[in-house]
Amino acid sequence: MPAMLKSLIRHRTFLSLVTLVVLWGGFTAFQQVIAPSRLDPALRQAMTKEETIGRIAVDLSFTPEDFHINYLQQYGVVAGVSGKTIFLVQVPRNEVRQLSELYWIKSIRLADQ
Amino acid sequence: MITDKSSSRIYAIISFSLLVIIWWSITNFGVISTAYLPTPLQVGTEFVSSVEKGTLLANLGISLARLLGTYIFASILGIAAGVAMGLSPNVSRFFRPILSFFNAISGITWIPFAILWFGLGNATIAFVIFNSVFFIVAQNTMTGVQTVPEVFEQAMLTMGAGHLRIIWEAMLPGALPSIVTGQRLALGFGWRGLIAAEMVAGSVGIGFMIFNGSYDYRPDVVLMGILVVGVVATLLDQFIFAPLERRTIERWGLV
Repeated sequence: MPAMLKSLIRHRTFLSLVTLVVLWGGFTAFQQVIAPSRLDPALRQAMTKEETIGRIAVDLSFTPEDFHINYLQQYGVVAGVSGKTIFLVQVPRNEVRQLSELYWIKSIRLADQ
Repeated sequence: MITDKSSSRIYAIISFSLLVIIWWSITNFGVISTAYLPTPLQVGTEFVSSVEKGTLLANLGISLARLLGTYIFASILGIAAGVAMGLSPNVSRFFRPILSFFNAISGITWIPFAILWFGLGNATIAFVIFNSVFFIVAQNTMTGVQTVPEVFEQAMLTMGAGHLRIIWEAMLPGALPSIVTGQRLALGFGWRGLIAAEMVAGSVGIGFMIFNGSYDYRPDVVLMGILVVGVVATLLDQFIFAPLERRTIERWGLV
């Protein structure tokens, strides 16, 4: 059994899978680390006080497609799209945190009511 | 010295390169308008853009999660059913025609029926994958168990082994080459079923991304998605199941 295990561990398929998992894990961890920098200071301030944020603006570096609008719909109610920004209302604060971990989101800020 | 393996790789590289050169030529010299067939560069640009926008990775992740979840579930049930059928000749005679019948029905044929039952969404997609995987795994497992020489079972019985031990230590290992072949085939069928089901019944996933690309009149998205489907299927097969099958077959002395 140990010999089989050794040969499995040395197999290139296993090594490739481990490399993939490590790369993906590293990328995810990196996104979690830099996530707070995507949040506007005023929004961060609001998140310490309120459970649900009334209206936020999610800025992208490209024009949003259906996919992005549908995707953000999971986090709150999409209230509109303007240029490269998607507006969401009634977003729980932990959902705002999760949103900030998405690598394709440029920044998140409080939107005017 | 060029081995068989490296020679196959060289041929694969040459054939794919040739394909890309032909594709580039007919699009670049206007044989086919890029409105219908985008250039390799356009497809490559769309690939990079989709990764940047998160659309490709998210859709691919969802598709792989759907495939993996249902594939594992259907495989476990398929192996269990296959072993049960393989152990009893009467049960096997009863179920074999049914298995052959359902195996002959392509997984995607179930899509309209699944929509009637489950509506549009994950349940329909899972049902289609399940049908693409379960029957082929069950049939291969059954065949594998039936090919294990009876003398092994009798020898173990003589030595006082219980039925569960016989299954675990003789039947399953003996049937492994056939089971692995079934798993490999099932993965291919499951992947195809998934893509087709997502096109019809999904609102997210790589199949939906391809289909939606045609609505948006984006041949670059469509072709990029098709290439991703092919590459992912090839990688899954070549990196996981082909080595596994080779090792099993070699270890069991079938070559």
